[in-house]
Parts: sequence; structure tokens; C-alpha cells
Amino acid sequence: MRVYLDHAATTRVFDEVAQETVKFFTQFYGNSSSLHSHGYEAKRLYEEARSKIAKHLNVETEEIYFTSGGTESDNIAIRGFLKANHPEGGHIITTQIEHPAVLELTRQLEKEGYSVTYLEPTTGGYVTPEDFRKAIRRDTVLASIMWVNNETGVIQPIEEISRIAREHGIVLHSDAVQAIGKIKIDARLVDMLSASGHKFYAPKGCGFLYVSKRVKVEPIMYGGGHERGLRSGTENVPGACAMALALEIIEKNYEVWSEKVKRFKEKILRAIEDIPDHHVNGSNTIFSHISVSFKNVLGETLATALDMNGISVSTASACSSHHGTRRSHVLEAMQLEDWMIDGAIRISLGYDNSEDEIEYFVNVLSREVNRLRRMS
Amino acid sequence: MLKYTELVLDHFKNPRNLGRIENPDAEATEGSIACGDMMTVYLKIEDNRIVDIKFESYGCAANIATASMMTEVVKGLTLEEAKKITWKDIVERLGGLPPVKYHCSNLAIDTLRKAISAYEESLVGR
Repeated sequence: MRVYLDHAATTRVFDEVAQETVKFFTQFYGNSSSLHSHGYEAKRLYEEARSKIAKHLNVETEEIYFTSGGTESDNIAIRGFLKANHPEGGHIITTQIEHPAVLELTRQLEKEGYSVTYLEPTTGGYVTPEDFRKAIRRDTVLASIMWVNNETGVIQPIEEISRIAREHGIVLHSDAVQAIGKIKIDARLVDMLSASGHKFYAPKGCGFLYVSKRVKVEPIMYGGGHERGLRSGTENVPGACAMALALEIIEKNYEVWSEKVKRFKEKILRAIEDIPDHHVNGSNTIFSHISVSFKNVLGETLATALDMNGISVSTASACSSHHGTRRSHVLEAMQLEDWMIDGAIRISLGYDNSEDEIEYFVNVLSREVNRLRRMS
Repeated sequence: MLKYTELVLDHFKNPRNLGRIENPDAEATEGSIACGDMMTVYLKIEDNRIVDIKFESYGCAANIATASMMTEVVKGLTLEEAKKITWKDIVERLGGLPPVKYHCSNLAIDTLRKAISAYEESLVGR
């Protein structure tokens, strides 16, 4: 049996989305910027997709910009905002647990003269609104706080942080790559928001960025002036339409599907409870996500053992160099014990998992943990 | 996951000579929990020959497989012969390892050599 439990890494494109998307390669293949019927047709479908996505996020159609994915959205939002409003420098607040798409960018911005505060999470894996408030300085211009952490699945307190940011006139960006398609979010809580299609059953290579009309952002890449000048490059009509359709399908089935995934998560957590010396990492986690560590078993070793049984999960830490272990910056920031950091595996469920798969997984999991423990 | 050869996975799934030897003639532990990999080697030695060897491991699949292969290779060898076995010999026997995992094969050899040294030092003291 092959079981895919790594939906936080990427998802299988919905069959219906894959079938519909083919049309954009063979039938509606016009360049949506062209001034002829092939172009108009593509443009209409492209703009329809934009308005559907806007509706899903509870924002206006003109506030959605299509991009190539999460990393690009994060870069346009953060760098584009600073370029347009604070080219001379300023203070940024983010977290120690961001995805590299934000962290590597802010490290680069530090080299360019910006100053950055990296909020430390609690051992539960979330930053606190109080710490956010304390980090605010007179020159704070931007905050970037992820909606859901990719390694632990911990939901961050965006609502409270949003309130504080508004009080102080700080523009708030959120990398919502792990939230879109999973939890219902009101994008208006933030000023800018990043999303990636392949995390919600659309193809790789497409994403979008929400930018509130109140916020001015400059492009970071120059060309034909697509996406109202913010993101040049021929419009990815198949990607945009695939994302809109995938979100539509999720919305239609959300109650049934999310209940199912919640049940699976509970079943896995019950099975984990029966294995002694374990630790579930993070609290207030999203319903599709489990990060767990077993004492005396390396996460990397367990993931390999599961892989040999056809089960795909991921691991955040791995021993990969002469100098020791490449460790998860997220779990380290949470100041967990060594065995929890080195032992962590991430199980991320999807709407397409089945009862049989979960049954098989929990059996293999306890068997392999026991086997590996006998080796040490 | 990293791509391992069939043989590596076989040794990971069914490690040879896994466990401990009661009253070994020598034993050694290398690595540390903090660096990720840790293993212990136990030796039974007669007339300068390794007549039995066992290991325990808290390590990655590559570490377990190389340790397992190492025990197969050195069992029956004289101490002098065993000392000449290199990490390269083990990796080649396994049909290769991903380059990031070379250090794991080092750990197996380092621990073996440390155990042999411990044995030789114990003789000096006698």
C-alpha cells in the first residue's frame, strides 16, 4: 500500500482540476493579453478566476495578483512594500519560525540596512500578541507573521496581532501558504497575504498575493506590466483557473472533508498515545497536521522506515553533514528537548486520504517505532 | 527521503549482528545524541581474531546499514586486518551511499577502531 501523508509539502491535483486545466493548453490557449478572440476568451476566464479567489478570501477582485507561488508572493509583498514606502530603511517584525521564503529575505534586508526583530515562539510553537506589542518601535513599518506554521501546523494569533498592528499603523503581511484551502480565513485581517496553488490541490508554479487597496507596492521584476504593473510575465491562465476551481471544490465539500480529516487526525493521535515516550510538538494545530517525536528514534530514521513501507511523511531535521545535524529552525526556536527536535516527523493529512490508509499507517507506525527502539 | 540502494535498505530492515555481547573483550561508543548519530560496538576476541561482533545504534538508516555491513565484513578477521578496513570499503560493499551520508559510514569504522584500541590498551595493562 502507498500512503501519502505529506500534504504540507505538496498535494495531488484534484482529478477534476487536472481535467479542466487541460483545456487551457489545447482549447483556451490564447495569450490573455492579446487583442483577438483567442486572447479575449482566455482573459475572461483568467479574470473570472481572480474574482472567485477574491470572493473566497473576502476581498475585492482588484486586490488579487497572480504570481508563481508562495516564495514570489512573499518577496513581492515584503520587498515591494519597502521599496514603495520605505526605501531609506526601517524596522520589520517577523518570527523565528517563518518559512525560508521570508526568513532568507529578511536576512538579506538586514544586510541592506533594515533592522529586523525575530519574535521567539513559545514551546507551543506560536508567537504571542504581547511579544509582538513589545517589539514595536517608533520606526516599525512592516510585520510579516505566518498564518499557519509549515512544520508544526500551529495556527498563529493573527487576529490579535492584526488589531495591534492596526493600532500602531503597521502594515501586516502574512504567509498563508499552509492556511489557504484548509481553514477559513478573513484576509482583511491583514494588508497582504501570500498563497501557493500546489498546497491546495492545484498545480505547482502558480500562486497569488492579496494586497489591500490601501497599501502601495512596487514591482520587483520588470517587463510587460502584467497584473496591473505589479507582476510582469505572461499570465498563467491554466494556473489561475486551476486555483480558482480547486478552492471552489474545497468550499463545496468543506464540511464533510474537514470532518473526515479531523477524525483521521484523532485516530492517529490515539495510536500515538499508545506508544510510550512520545511528544506531540506544538499546540493549537491545524486539523490536518501532526508533528510528533518518539524518544530514542531519529525522525529521519523513522521516516526512512515508513518510506520502506510505502508511507510518505517528512522530517524537519536530518543528519546530513560532517558537522552534525541539520536541525529544524522551528523546533529549535521552540526550545524543545534534543530528542524532540531530532525525533520529529511531520504527518500532514489531505482530503484525499482514506480510512484504510490511516488504519495501515497507524499499524506500521507503532511497529516501526518499536523495531527501531530495539536497535539502541 | 534520500535514495538508498536496495542493499542499504536491506541492512537497515534486517541489521546483521544487532544487539550486545555480555562480557565483551572490548566495547566502544562513538558519536553523540546531540550530533544525531550514536553507536556502540562490542567485540569478542580470541587469538587476535574477532570471533564475534555486535552493535547497537541510535542513528539514521545509513548509519545502521553501514554498521551492519561493517560487522559482516570484519567478523573473523584478525585485528590487524580489521584495522585496515576503511569507510570506502564499506560504502562500496553497500553499492554506494548518498554523499551527505558518507560521515555515517565513518562513524561505523571509527567506533570499530576505538573498540580495537580499547582492547589493545587493556592488554598493555595486563
